Amino acid sequence: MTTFERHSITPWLLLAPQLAVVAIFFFWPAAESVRQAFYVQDAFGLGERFVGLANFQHVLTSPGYWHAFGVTALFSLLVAAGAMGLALLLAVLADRVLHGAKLYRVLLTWPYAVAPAVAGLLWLFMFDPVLGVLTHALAVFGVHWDAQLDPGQALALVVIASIWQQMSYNFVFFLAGLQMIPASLLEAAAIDGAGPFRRFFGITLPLLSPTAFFLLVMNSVYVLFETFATIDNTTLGGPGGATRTLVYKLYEDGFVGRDLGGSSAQSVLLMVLVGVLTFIQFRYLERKVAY
Amino acid sequence: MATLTCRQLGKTYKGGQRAVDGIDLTLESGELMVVVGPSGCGKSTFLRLVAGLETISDGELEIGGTLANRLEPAQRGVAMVFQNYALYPHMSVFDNMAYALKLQKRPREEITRRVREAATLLGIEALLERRPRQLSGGQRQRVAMGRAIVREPRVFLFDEPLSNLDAALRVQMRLEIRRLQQRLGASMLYVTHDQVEAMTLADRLVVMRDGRIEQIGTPMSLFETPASCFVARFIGSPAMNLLPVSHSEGCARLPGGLILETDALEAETRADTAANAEAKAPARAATLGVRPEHLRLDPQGEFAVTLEMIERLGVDALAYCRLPGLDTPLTARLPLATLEAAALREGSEIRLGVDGPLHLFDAEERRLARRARLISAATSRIA
Repeated sequence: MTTFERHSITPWLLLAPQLAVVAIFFFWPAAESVRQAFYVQDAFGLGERFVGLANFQHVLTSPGYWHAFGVTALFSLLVAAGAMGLALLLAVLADRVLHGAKLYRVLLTWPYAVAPAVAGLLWLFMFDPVLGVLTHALAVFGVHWDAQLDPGQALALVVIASIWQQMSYNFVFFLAGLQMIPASLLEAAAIDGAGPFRRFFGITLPLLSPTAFFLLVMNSVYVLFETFATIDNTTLGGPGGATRTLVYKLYEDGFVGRDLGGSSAQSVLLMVLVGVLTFIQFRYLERKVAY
Repeated sequence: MATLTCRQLGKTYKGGQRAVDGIDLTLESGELMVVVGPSGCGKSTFLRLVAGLETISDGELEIGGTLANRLEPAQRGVAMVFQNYALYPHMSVFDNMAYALKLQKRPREEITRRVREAATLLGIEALLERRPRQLSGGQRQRVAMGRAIVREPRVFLFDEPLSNLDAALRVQMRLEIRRLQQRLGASMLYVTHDQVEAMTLADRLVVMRDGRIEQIGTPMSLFETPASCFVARFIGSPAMNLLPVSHSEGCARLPGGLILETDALEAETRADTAANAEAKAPARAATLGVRPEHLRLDPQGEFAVTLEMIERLGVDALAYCRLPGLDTPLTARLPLATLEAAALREGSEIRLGVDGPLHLFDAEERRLARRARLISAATSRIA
């Protein structure tokens, strides 16, 4: 205590660089976008006019916004469920591997190190209507694949690319969670008469619930914001808005359409949406978390 | 009646490591058998073989008269108490204890009745709604035992159940396990590395070493006639003094020139002629054992030693002494009063006499004679 009291300036000096970074790159832009949401700007950024809630009214009454909202909801659900489900499956399998376990784990963790833009390109090439390896493979089974024309296939493409990316992150946490469960718990359950499935659903899964809850929050944030690069490098929101999620529409309206006010209003709405989602998750799901 | 029988039970791991090797034993109904040994001796693996948590490589395991080698853990009629208790953290104490019965699809009333009975027996009725993390170490231990009792198993298996408790609680729980076992008439197989726990709890004691049984018998028989130096060192605290001697015809000659004549002669020569027809070996390397409790302060005593250190234990004291010509210290457990009366301190020259049995072990550290007592002693100038 006394040490800190005597050097009342030093801790602040030490914190200053970090605080500066957070303030300049996070708080300032966020505050700016909240402010801009209440103004209309001209396309060259030379003048602006206060319009109150008109931007919000415009956004919330446009059918395009609600379409993007629907796409986002479907997209989020598919990616979160897919990325978490597959990651859990792989983690359970990896947990049983004895030989070469480290190599296996490194390989499964790798996709997370790939930048989202690169990941998007990777899948774009593989699913290219003319050159794609997977397109040809699908053709063998009589599936005509063209994500540039088919809305469903376009959505599938970005969902697959996003799942592939996020799965590694989830895998690392699920595996760590699994390894935290003492082997003796499952042995005790085996002696008590629980078979492999009973043990998984009765013991393992409940004990993983804190991890799963944490990942659900993280995945929601990932799907809502960080899938931007994946979409921007593959489908560009198309065809016909089939993959235009909220964050992609925000970008299009603001930086392509130069409607800064409307785009800011959307970003405020998105922030509120994430806040509400996180609140609901904490409020209602955390109670069901085992311990 | 035998509850559990092992015939040449063995376990070899994939790497070729032999963890358990040819275990032969029979657990009688209502018997508490303690398996004791240093870490890595295979005692826990043995218990896991019985529980069905490891597959048996060879030999036979019979539980309640049926061959159990290939039975699933749940079908063997065993219940296990783990070292870390292994309580399900997301279930209440009641659910923890009821889990096995629920899986057996027993009627709800029966489950409630049996859990309540076990809880009453262990004095944990008030805790039934709590979660394991809200319990103290001793309470968790009780719940773990309750979970085992509820299942009414043929055999209880304990895997070092007290080693996570503090010393005072360990003594208390030790007594409680013993009382419980006698009340239930339960058959128990209990693994520990703590020799005090082993001595106090066991009806019969199994000492294991390198996957094999070194000796099996009542605690006192192991204390009085250890079959090898290993058992002699392991059972009894402080450990038995083991002195290197050269030995022939019942006479043990210590490096310092002291010659002890014992009555082990007869048995030893008999064993000698039977074992090898070789001419009487003049003197062979052997080990002489004497327990610290069996040494006393005696002006006419056989051992002339230097007192190096005194540890006061309260009533008694441990005197660490040095015999001339020997590296291993000689430990004596002496009444503190006699030490104080003789005004002894570190560095004093004293004499110790033998007041109890001697133990003789051959070069392979096996016991030489069932009984060995000191007859006379002499000091030779020709060492």
